Amino acid sequence: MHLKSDTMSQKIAALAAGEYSALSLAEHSLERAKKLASLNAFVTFDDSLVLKQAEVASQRIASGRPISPIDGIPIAVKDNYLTADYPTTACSDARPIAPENIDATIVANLRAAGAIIFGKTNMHEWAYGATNTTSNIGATKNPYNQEHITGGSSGGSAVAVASGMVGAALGSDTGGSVRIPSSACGIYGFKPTYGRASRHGILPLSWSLDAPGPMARSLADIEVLLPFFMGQDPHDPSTFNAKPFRAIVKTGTPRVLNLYGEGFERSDEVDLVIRQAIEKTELVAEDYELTDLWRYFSGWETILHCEATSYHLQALEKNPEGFSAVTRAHLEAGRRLSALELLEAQKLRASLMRSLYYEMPDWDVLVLPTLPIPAPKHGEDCQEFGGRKVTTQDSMTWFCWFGNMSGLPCLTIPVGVSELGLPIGMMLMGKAGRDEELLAVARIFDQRINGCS
Amino acid sequence: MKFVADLNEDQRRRIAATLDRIRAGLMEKKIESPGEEPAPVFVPEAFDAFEK
Repeated sequence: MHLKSDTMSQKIAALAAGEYSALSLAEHSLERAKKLASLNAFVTFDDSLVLKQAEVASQRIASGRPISPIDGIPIAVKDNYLTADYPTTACSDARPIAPENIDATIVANLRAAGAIIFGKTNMHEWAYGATNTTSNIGATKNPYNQEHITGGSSGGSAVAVASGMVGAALGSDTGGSVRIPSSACGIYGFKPTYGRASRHGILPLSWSLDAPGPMARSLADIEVLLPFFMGQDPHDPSTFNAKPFRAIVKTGTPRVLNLYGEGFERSDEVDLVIRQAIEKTELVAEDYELTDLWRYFSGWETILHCEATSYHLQALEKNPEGFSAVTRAHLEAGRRLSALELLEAQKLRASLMRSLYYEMPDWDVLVLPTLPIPAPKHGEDCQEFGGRKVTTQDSMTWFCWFGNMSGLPCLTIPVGVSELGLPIGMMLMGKAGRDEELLAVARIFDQRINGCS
Repeated sequence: MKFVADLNEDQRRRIAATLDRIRAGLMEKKIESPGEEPAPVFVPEAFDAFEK
């Protein structure tokens, strides 16, 4: 039993076996979050709120009546999810929201299942960036090396999970914001198909790209959490046809495509780790060149900026100083894009989807690195890899954004470490609506690469 | 391009660079086929239609 390194599934088993109580688990989580405060994972957590929930969970479990498998498990919540007991700030001074007895649907589902809603995690301001260095409480620090960034925008959630503060955490993903920090911090992160998981109560960045997702220390943990994410929610019309999550136990040999081409460059170090990981799977990964990626990227950026600016327009006019300088510049760019440019971007979205569905050899899973480089150092503005020199921000979303533009389900799993000991993640992308199949395939990868059962 | 008065030089540079990059990409990929309609709201039903 190792409280700080156990996966959530191991904690569930330990609670059931009476090896420790939900109360002692919560006390450990509080202690660890305080001990590692320099990582800056949390905006807020409240000892009394945590312990109160844990005491009740302990009584349920001790009397043999746990509500669900996650009863008594501490779960951290990104600070753009509304929570009844904590304020929500999106790590910005622009529009803090006081508690109003409202939980986001996913938080409500977890709370009803007995999970301990532990606290709110640090994030890139309004999720409008992928480095987690722009936040009104300061940057998060990578638990593997505090001189390096965590990636974002769900950076605090990744830190809280990777450093063993909580059993799992909630993130949101508009261009990789679950997957990026999960990869940089060596954990698992999943973005469901758009429309399968409720966005209700999650402050939007770009509503046609946003997806909530779980972050955890194992694939099994992700699968335990997904029933609380997926399915119809009358508060979110995009889920009107969403199926609940039902894990698939077995799958056949997957057809794997390894994407390459302009826009898929990566560092030699990452390329080597990913190739070695694919070799370990003993699966045939066919190379496929996907073209026009940078043009599609322009479409993604257009949709992102237009929708974000639309959401923030009133605040931008009333309280522009509330936003950081960089976030405000993003929003001002969105204000200058035209309706015709937005429609052109939507055509590009349709074109990208057609490429992925009709113009490629048949596939079950697309394989990519999650990031082209290991986590950069704090303060670095640019990154060079594979003959490219790009901003650190762009290096973080490099492979991730087109999962949001196409709506496809995506998962990152840790597959190795860099020369400096920083984690390297592999991204697996599945077909739309086939999240369960993607996870079943991912289990094969995880077993053969990491030896996870 | 008009800017509101209180934007600083760095913000103006960022905005201009963002718009230049976006517009270069959008204009390069002109799609004029009448069959190329904007993507619908993404829901599983829409994806099912893509798959058939």
